[in-house]
Amino acid sequence: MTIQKSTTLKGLLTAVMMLSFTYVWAQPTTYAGPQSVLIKNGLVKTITQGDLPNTDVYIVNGIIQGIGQELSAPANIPVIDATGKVVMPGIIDAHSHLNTVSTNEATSPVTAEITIKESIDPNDVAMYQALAGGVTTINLMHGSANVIGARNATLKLRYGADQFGLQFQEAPQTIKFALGENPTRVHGQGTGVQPRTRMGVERVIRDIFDDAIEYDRQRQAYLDQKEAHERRPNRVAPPVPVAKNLRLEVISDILKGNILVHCHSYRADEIVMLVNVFKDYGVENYTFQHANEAFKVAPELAEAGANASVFSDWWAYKFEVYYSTAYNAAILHENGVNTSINSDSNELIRHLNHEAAKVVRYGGISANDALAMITINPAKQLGIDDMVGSLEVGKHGDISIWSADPLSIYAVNEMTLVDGQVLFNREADFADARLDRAISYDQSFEDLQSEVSEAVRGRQDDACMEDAFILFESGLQTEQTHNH
Amino acid sequence: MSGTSWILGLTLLMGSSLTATAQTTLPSYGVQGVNVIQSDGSVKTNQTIHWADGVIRRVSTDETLPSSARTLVEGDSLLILPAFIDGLNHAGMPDAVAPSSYGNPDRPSDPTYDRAGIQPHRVAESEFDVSHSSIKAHQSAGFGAVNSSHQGRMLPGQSSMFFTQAQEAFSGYESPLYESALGYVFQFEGAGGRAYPSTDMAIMARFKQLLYDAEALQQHIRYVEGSGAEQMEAPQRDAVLESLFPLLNGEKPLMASVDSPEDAERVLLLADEFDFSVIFATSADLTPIASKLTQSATPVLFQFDKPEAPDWIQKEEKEAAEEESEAQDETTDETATEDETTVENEEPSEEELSEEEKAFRTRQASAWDAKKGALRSMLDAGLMIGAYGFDGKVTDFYEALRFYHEQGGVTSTELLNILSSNTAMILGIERLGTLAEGSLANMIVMHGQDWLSEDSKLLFTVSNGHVITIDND
Repeated sequence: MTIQKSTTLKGLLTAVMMLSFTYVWAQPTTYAGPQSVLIKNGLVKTITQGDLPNTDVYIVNGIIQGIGQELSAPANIPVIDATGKVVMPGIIDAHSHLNTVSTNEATSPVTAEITIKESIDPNDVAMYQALAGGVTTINLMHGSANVIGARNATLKLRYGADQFGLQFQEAPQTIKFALGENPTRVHGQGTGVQPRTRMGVERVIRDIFDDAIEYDRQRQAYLDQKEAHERRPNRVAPPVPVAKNLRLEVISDILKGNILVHCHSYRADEIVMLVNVFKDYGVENYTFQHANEAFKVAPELAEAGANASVFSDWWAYKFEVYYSTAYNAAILHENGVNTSINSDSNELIRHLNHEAAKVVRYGGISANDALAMITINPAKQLGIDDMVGSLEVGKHGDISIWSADPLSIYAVNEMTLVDGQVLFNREADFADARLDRAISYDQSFEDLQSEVSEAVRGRQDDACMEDAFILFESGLQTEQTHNH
Repeated sequence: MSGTSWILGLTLLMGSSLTATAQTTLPSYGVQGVNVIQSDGSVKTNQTIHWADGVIRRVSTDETLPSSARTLVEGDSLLILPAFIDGLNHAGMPDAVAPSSYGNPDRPSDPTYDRAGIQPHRVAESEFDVSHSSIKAHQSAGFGAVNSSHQGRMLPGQSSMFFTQAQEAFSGYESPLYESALGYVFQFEGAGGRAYPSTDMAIMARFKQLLYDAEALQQHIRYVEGSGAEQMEAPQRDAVLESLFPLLNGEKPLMASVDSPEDAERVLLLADEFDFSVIFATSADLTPIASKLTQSATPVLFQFDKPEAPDWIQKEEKEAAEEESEAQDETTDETATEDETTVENEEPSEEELSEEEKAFRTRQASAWDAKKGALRSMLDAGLMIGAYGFDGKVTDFYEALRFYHEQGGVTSTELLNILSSNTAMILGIERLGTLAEGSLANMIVMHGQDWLSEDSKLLFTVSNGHVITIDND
């Protein structure tokens, strides 16, 4: 696939073209802000409006302005010839720890006051590797050590941007919850504090919800009286101050529907437990992550309007997740549960198209519905489906272009665009895709090779439990913990 | 005076200077016929400096000194510079208390302030020990003042400025303290072990909550002290929270130690939310966020550690130097044979390297160039740079200075500026760092032509008017 150089286009895009069909030993193209580009004559998989053969997609300043045939653009707009290629929305991974600085603050069962937005590593080459798999947006999550973890960060993979530029600013806030073995082992068994059991997990959630409601009442009463006192100091007595409590304010925002919950979970009973808790407190529009037994309670989830974000065929890595099926996603989908396929892995994220294909293989759902599970469905779970997740006029120019049907094992992602800018081009791939600023002057070649080996060796052992080992190493428990 | 005679003069004077430091009244000293280098790089030749009671009284070409003043030293090739200032250090402070010594809290989520490393109420003078070996090391390197703080974790305490003047000057409750509690030291150091906070993101959250709590307590105290609150309950006083009021009110800066531009940006988020000023302490290159720093007038204290080049670059440089040396030998020794000039090479030659490793080296060489140029780059970006973190190794310190001068493109004037007047300005103590009449008598006396040269020798460090004779052996 080639990019036709416009007569006036300068800079990095030109450099990419000139170096076509070679490995490039330099810093990859870095994000430069929203761009304009015309993608010509591809098979456009809109996801929401069917497949459109021989169709163009015209992106202006990062936003899709036109989808149709024989579209034209000013001469200075670069053109990508997608003849024979498949053009689809950039993939969205609803569960990732791709480039966190730290993943788990595992010292407290509730850490809602913390935000992963303050733990983003903008220099991680893993972002480029994910772009190579066609991924453009991720839910960068806190780990699953705590019943209520930190708030997450929805990121666009604007490789080269800083920690703020990577953030999908328009995306609503989400937060990580976790049920089951991870929080009970870390806190109950690890340090002797609640929760030690699944019953305790529920208690922790209900208690903090109650605390937040009471806090909200007291804080608001204080602010109201403070304002009245400042207006009429001689008539209204000053109030006893109630300190702002960041943790409880975040919990309060969950109860008010301002923050979307993404909950690590496996067993059907604990999933139903949380559905019931949320029903009691009026929490809506939440997503169960992993949810390997969710298929058992699919109708209940559908009725509650809950979402599910699952692995295609990954289970049996610990006791609570011995029972699962590769039909999980399909069963959920058929029952009307908005379902996505996620990676939770820096390796798996590079071929989420294969993971989606497995749902077709096992569950027999349509190809478009399978692709929806890695595009529009996770977009809905993250509250960004009005901006990304499908190819529609007015949505962001986040696009992956494939050599063939993305569900084919032979298909490869050839090009990935974020906000209309090409940030991955297989014809001019970068052998060493690290950013210049990420290169250490004192790292040995051998150490770098070890890092690369680690990055390609497969699913990580410790993704969701990263940083949680500290508790076990402190003496109370020395057994190996596992991921997820 | 010849070289021999000034050494003789120096020897004779050493005894009197040490005796003088034991006096309560600060001595009056003078130096005549010296070259005075100001931190702005200007050089005045054949100057006479007189100081008394810890203050520079006169800098002039007038060779006469008051009769009460002792002549410190006479001789050729004497340089006088402002003494260096260490902008942030733990010099003179006790070793850090290991988190484990506090034990693991019953509730890891709610450790005590001490266990969490939240100790902003501690001011350095409570435990500062001028007889500590680190203070002697500072004297030996030319530091006349040091801004010291407790060691610790997230918020180890408030730093205070101390003179490095000799221990003998003090007895009883006297102290070399110049100014107390200049700012709050902050670092991304978790509580350690099973205690909150353990990650940078949790440190951010814990810091915010501390200030929210301090905000409420301050408000409560104000209400109770004001009118209309006769019925109000008494606030629960809290020394840790109350120690943070000046930070909350924007009266004192946060002195944040950071390892990367990203960490610095995180600290700036806190500063933006609570509207306090920040002084960064780092050995990292903060050029990528220079515009943010200049906009907020945020200064940077830079640590002079000499970085080590990658092994392969060191080897190449060594070989190049040997080849050059041998080439010179060949021109002087025409009998040298080709065999004798062969260099043994155990590493793979450039041709034997994989394409991948060659490319790796190319990019690493650029990273090394960037590291060498980090200080230059920050200066060019308009950042206000001072110095901090002298680790007690005098030779390494001067090697690091020469490294940034010779390989990093920083002039000796800029280095002196960074080490003296800039640091003084950043810390708001402008009577330090300059050699003007009325300035505090903190200076160093060197023998040599160029203060940065390896051949120059530091003879005296003068701190608060006291003379410390440097043992160069």
